[in-house]
Order: sequence, then C-alpha cells, then structure tokens
Amino acid sequence: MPLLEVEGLSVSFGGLHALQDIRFAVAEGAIHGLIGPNGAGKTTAFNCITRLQTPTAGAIRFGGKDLLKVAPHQVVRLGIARTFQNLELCRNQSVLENVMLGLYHRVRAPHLTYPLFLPAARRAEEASRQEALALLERVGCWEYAQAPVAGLPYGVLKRVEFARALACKPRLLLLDEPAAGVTSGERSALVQLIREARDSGITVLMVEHDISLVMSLCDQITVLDFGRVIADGTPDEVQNDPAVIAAYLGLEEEVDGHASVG
Amino acid sequence: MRRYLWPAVGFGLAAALPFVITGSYRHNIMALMLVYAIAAVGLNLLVGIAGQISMGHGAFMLIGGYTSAILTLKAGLPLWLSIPAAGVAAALVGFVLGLPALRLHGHFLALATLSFGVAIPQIAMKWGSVTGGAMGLSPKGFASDRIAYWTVLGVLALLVWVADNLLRSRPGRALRAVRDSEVVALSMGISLVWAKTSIFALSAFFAGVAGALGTHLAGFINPTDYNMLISFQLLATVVVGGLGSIPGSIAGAVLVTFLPFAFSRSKGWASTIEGLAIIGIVIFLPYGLASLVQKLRGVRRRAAS
Repeated sequence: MPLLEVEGLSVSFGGLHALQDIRFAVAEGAIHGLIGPNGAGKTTAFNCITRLQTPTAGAIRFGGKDLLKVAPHQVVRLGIARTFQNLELCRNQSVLENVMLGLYHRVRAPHLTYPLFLPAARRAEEASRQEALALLERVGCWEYAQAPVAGLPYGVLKRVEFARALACKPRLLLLDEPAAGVTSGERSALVQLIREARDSGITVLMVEHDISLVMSLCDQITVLDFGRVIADGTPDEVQNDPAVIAAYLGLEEEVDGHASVG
Repeated sequence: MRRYLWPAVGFGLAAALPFVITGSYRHNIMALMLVYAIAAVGLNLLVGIAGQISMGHGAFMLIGGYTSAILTLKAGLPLWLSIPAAGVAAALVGFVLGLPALRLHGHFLALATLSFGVAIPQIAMKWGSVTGGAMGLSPKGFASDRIAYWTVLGVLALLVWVADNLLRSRPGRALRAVRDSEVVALSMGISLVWAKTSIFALSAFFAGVAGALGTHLAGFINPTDYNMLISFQLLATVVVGGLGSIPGSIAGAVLVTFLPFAFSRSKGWASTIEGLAIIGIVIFLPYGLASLVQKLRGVRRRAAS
C-alpha cells in the first residue's frame, strides 16, 4: 500500500480550477517528484495534503487514514512535515529556536509545568535544545545556532528550514522547491541532505523546477499542467512522454514557428 | 542563574524605594504604577508576543476588582485568597470570550474586544444587587500604603517570573510562531485556537489580579474605575514600553501612570501633555522604552570609536 494516496482531488477558486481530478500515489521510501510549469497547481496540492487548503472534491489518504478528517495542526502528529517555497521562518528568533519549534508536537512536558519552570519543563527544554543542536549539526548550520534568522544568507536559511522539518520526525517530508534560489554548491549539499533523509527512512515528496535535479534524484515523477496530471512514471518514462514534452517545450516550438515564419 | 541577576537588582532597589521616597500618598501612587505594570505585562503577552489585540482589557481589571471585593465583603475571604481568585475569574471570562473572538483577525478582533470593554462596566452598573451599582463597593484596604506597595511589588515579581518562564520555553516559541506566521504554527502542530485562547485567558488573569490589587489599594470600586480609557491607556503602555518586552511594559506603566500626577497642576493640560509625550515616544522610540537601553549603548559606542 502506498504511504500517500491522492484521489480525484479538485480545488476551484470561484470559476478557476486550480486542480482537476488529480490522482497519484507516493510509495513508502521513495523520493517522488511533483513537477509542472508555473501555475500547474503543485503548491495547491501541497497545501491540500497539509490541510491548509480544503479541496472541493477528492480524497487524500496517508497510511490508510483519511487526511481530510484531520485538523490542520494535527497533520504533523501523523508524520507529515513540510518546507515552504518562500522561507517561512520566525525572523526575529534565533536559528536554534526556529528548529526547536519543529519539536513542538513531540518533545513536551505538561502545560502547567512551563509557567513555573518545574523540573519536567526544564528537562523537556534541555532535550529539545540538544536534539535541535544535533539537527543543526547534521545540516551543517551548527555555528549559526544562536544567530537571529534575519540577515543570514538564503542558502543557510533553506537548510535551517530543512532541519526544522526533520525535527518534526516525519514519515513523509514535503519539500516545496528545495533548490530554488540557492547557489550550485549549496544545491549539491541539499541534494545530499535529501538523499540522507530518504536513507534514514523518510519518504520525500518534492516540488521542484530544476528538471535535471528532479530527474537525477526522484524515483517516481508526477507531472501537472493546468491543474491536471498529464504524466506519471519513472524519470525515463516521463522524459519521453509526448504530453510532457509538449507542456514543457510548447513555448519553444512556438518560438521556432515564429522563426520559420520570419 | 544569570537571568535572575538584573531582575533581582531591580526588584531589590524597588523594594527599598519606600525608605527613600516617603509619605503615604506617594506610596499609594507607586503601588498604583505597579498595579498597571502587572496589567501591562499581561497585555504584552497577548499583544507583543502572540500578536493579537485587546481593546477592552480594562474590563478584566473590573471583573477582577469586583470578584475580590465581593469575595472579601460577602464571603469573608482573606486577600491572599481573593486576589488569585479574582485572576481566575477574569481568566475564565477571558477563555469564554476568547474562544469565539480569537477566530477573528485584526480590526474585527479589535471591535469584538472593544464592545466587551464597553459592555462589562454597563453590566456592573445595572447589576446593583451584586455590584452595588453606581455606588460601588468598599472592600477593606491594605494595612498601610507602604505594605500595599510591597504586596503589589511581590505579586509583580512573581508574575514577571511566570511570564518570563513562558517566554523562554516551548509556550513562548508557540506564541511567537502564531504571531509571525500562522501557516508555520499550524504546520508545527500548534492549534491556533488553543494557543490564542489560552494566552488571552492568561493575559486576563494578569489584568484580573491587577484589578483586584487596585481595588484594595483604593479601598473602593465602582463601574467607572476601569473603563475604556483604562483599556486604551493599557494598550498605549504596552506600545510605549516596547512590544514584547517585559521590562519595557513595567517602565511604560510607571511612566504612563506617573504623567497625570506630574502634570496635575497644569489645569486642563494634563491629558494634552500626556498625549504629546506618548506621541513623542512612539515617533522617536518606535520600539518603545525597551529600545532606549540599546540606543544609549549605540550612542556610547559611536562616541568611543
């Protein structure tokens, strides 16, 4: 049974169909790519899976469980964590505090121990701190632990957000354009981190525009265009699919056409 | 233990102050400043840390004041029981109000809390059999104004410690996440309803305790004591002190409570000067009195280099 199943998912905003009857399945242990031109509906699909967006129709199952019956803040407890297309970090907090936020749902003491800072709360805080520091070391940002987020380079912040997602201890990790806006050196570091995450047993679903990265990293790829699934398969299958070539290269054909007319 | 050093010095000096500044009337005003400091620290948790707003926090002071007055007058409770009970009563009302109100954002939340702040004094006025109506209630006061000052100072120290414990640990991270990005908060497993409602209730607890202390300090409460003006003054205090800063809120409360007394001789001009002073601070210190320390450090560093 696949870990994540999306079936007949549709989202409309007024008369605009952002997603129309899309279906795909993510196998446990895979790195699954979700690609398509701008506005194809990739982020909308992500927002449905994390319950930030309620679909007009369709079903999403995670580990056999109906995700649409789960409240948005409970999604992470089931084992789904995500990163964001445009970094979503608390800018005035330190890097460490941001990563510790990822531990919110699982490293905790009873609520009333915090105002009085009782031993249980102190232990939970210390455990969070140590685990967050270990994660920062893993993503190579240990030296920034105490630095405020505002003012740090984009590539560092991408890794901090990745560490925060790992802190959630997810079974499924959703990455929204992990390589966008980073230098080529940082890009290979991120690729390495994604591979390590998969090797540690985390299933990855990623949206990414960098096609060569997707082709080299993903086991399975779903291609969206104008809110519909136009192809689904291994990188080789997808690469040679005429519908995909048309969606991606349509523009260039047009340019060629213009050239020949001229 | 280093986190306790400066607060200990500050509270120690404040405790010695009645020996330097003498006189019952002055001690009464000093205690009043700290009463508003308690309410301001509580409101700051809501506004500065969690990014929500309350335009009617005076109403929670009123609820706390009446609760403690009634408990001491009619049930004969001692102050050390009636004051925390006043906080709990305000917190319960805050919880019940917050549950629906905090689903609203921005202007709508402001309006909902504003109506609350208007409604509670009206209810206190009409519900004469319990509240004494416009005549108010006269519960017993403290043994002396100096003892009142020390009591309020002790309560402030305790509540500042509680607030600081929250802010430096898991609940503080959750509240700041709610303020900075609700999407992140949700993705990290934070229930927005729970986070907002519980901080609203805690903030009401602070206001309720402050209202109770203020009531016993005056030895009197009536429906106009904690009205809309007080709600606005509290909000101004938090902004003037610096959003999110506990020492800032205390400094803000001391300043905002002191101003009317400082200018009380300039007949009719007191509130004008007070208003101008607040506008001046907001313009020249947009991050409040709390940023004054950093600013002065910066000036000294520039002068040194």
